[in-house]
Amino acid sequence: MEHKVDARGLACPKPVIETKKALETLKEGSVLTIVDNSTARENVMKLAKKLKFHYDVKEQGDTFEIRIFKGELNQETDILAQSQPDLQDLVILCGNDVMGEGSRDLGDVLIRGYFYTLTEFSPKPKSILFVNAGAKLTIEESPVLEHLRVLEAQGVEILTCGTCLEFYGIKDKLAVGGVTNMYTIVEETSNAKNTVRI
Amino acid sequence: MNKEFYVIVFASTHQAIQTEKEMIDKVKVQMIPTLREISAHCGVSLKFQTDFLEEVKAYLQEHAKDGMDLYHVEGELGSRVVTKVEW
Repeated sequence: MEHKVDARGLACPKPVIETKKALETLKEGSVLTIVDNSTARENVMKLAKKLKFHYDVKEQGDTFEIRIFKGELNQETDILAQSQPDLQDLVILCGNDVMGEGSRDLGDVLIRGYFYTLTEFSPKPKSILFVNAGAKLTIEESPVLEHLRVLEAQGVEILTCGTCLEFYGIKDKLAVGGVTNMYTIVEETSNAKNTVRI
Repeated sequence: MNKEFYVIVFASTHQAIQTEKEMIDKVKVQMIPTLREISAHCGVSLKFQTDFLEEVKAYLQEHAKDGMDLYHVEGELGSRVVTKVEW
């Protein structure tokens, strides 16, 4: 049985919400979500990954078709989780491009020190979410780009708020990790055992 | 990861920020928290790779201020060997 979600023209995070709803009503089978932009495609793919469902993506001209198969791959993802014992159930929410309040110069020094130390520290957080001015830390000019790339290579999920990137006019400068939306941010922070805000 | 490198340590954070600004065009430096093994300095240091040692030494000979020191670091977190280097 296949459920179809035509999410073309729908604003973020609607495609993800509609896909999730469709998956919830489905006992077994697949959901085919059609979107018309790459951000929506990525977000729907992330939903599938998070729910530990197998998926495939087809590009058809200006649209993308993401087919998510419910009820598969659980065993495989469990193996994946076991292979990453260095990750802990912790989400870091970074809401600024400096650390703390007060001097920006000092805050810049501190945020660089924070992410550098995180690359050396174990276990790592499961994911780091960047919102508001924090989005400036995941772009090409970021003073912590190198550290975030190391963390990503170590298995940490790096996600930046798409609305924030757009607001600051830096969406095309994203240099590490993926783009996310409030739906995922709420889900990540709610589901994690611990959330730290910096 | 980065098993061998050097760090410059400072008497104050202001000194570290100023030195980074002066060096950034010549040497690829990274501001990092001062290693626990080197405690008697301010909280931030400038880290650089061995390739830049001569440039850094030349800079220090000309611009070094009281409280600045240079260290060679080898090994990983938990088993590091830190040695003071003269310039």
